[in-house]
Amino acid sequence: MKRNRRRILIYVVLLLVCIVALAAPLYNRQTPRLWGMPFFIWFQLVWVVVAAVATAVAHRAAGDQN
Amino acid sequence: MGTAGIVIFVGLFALVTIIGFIAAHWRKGDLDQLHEWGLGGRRFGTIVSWFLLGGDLYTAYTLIAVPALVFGAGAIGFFALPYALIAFILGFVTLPRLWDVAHQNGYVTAADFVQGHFQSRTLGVLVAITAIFATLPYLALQLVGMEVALAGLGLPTGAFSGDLPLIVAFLILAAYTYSSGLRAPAAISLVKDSLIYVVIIAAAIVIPKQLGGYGHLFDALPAGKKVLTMTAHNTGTVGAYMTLALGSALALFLYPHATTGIFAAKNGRVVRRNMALLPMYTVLLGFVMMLGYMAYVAGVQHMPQYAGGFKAYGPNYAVVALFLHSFPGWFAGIALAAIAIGALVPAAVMSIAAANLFARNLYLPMRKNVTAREETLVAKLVSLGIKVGAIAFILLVPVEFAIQFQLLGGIWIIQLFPALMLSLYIPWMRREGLIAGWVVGTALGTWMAASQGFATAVYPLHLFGWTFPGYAALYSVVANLVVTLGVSLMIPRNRSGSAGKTAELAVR
Repeated sequence: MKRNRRRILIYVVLLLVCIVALAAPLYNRQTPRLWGMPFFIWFQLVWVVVAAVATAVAHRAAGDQN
Repeated sequence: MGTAGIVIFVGLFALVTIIGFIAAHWRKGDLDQLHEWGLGGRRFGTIVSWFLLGGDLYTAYTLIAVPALVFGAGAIGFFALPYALIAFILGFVTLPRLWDVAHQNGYVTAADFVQGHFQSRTLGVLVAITAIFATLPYLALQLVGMEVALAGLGLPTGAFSGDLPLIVAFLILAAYTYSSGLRAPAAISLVKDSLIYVVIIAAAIVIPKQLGGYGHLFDALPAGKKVLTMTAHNTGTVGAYMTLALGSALALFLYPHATTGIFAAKNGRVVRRNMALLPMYTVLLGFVMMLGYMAYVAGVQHMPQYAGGFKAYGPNYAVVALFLHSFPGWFAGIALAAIAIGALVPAAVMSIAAANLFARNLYLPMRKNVTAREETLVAKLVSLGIKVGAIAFILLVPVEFAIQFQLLGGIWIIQLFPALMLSLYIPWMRREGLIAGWVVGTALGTWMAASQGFATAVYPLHLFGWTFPGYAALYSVVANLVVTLGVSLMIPRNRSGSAGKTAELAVR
């Protein structure tokens, strides 16, 4: 039961990460800039890192079972 | 770019050629078995799988065409970022399951899986044909990528003598793929990806510095190149961006070269761990895209020494010109070698994947009593034939044809999404529904592309007084899904070959 709930939580988080990545109107803007890059670029780069971390955490949480 | 660059280029090429031939002896197996030749004996661990799978994303054509899109069209080219991000999360969720089923039943191809899962030869053949036709233009475009890199070396191009280096390179590739199978690209991908990492990281540091820093780089760009647009009653490039990202993400792991890479993994744990590690590739992809902006701001398109390249290859020449302009000769040699070798790995995996499909899912059902040895021989010969065909295609047909054909390939391959991915989760899908959905989706998607003169895969959908320009592949697969699920619901239970855990049809 506890295991199932954890699994659902993992899927919900991953789904949210995907939805934000797709929501172009959300990040289609130039400011604020970071390292000289427009928001449009740096937000997506940061979000890729967020996704990588989320997937790694999900992998850990799901257990490295075979 | 001088002799040093050419010497380094040729040296690196020779190195991977030697690796390709030696690979046959790597974790040696009986190469007369299809799963040994075509899946490397299913023995690849985490590291090799990472390079092999990640390599599917970093093809020569990605390095050339993605920055070319940013160079020419601007911000919309960045759709590849959310695309890769979503594709890997989707893969993380679905692929370990797919691997499990494939392993338990000895499946070599995606068509094996669909045929077994739905107990339908027709569906298996349909999947095989779709996958082969979607892969061929993709393979041909790898050659375009290599051609552009070779052009950057300053060798003469155009006439037959100019095509000679390309022909020689591909014949060598064909030879070691024939003898070593999937082991060759797997081994070479270690060298290839290391080179690509070095080149991209160097470019991301060195080139912006020459242009006065990232801040100056973006200040120098025209505003129109930096944002997506949207007007009243038209979702514009914003909608196109979103649909291209989602549609491409759904399609990525349906391509046979991707499934081949997954099925070749040693166990489900390797697949899972890989899907958790692969998103790191995507960060680099962001910098690959910015190469397009860098080329634009550097102004390589106005420099007389690159005019010939731009005339022959259009925006696809932008990255090569940028490397030649920004790097010293010897490092430009490494960079161009990285692109050219970047064509070899996916081209080899694609030809092997298509050959596996042909031998296993088209040849085998037609003939009786095919031995494993004969099946493998057919696959090897087909992989050889595909590569010769790809060279002929690129040399004889205008390159626009290959690009248009590749656009269609993306629309066709996504139609396999219900059969290959959703079937893992929806047990009540029926083969009749899948076939009907495939027919509707393929026809609609092809019509949408045709209505745009095959020039773009973005179709302006008119609905409720709005215009939604979006990826035809995504629109058509939605239609496919509606038909698939609708027909499946209409067919009474126990009549059709039901999916699920009951007996999977033996393929061999």
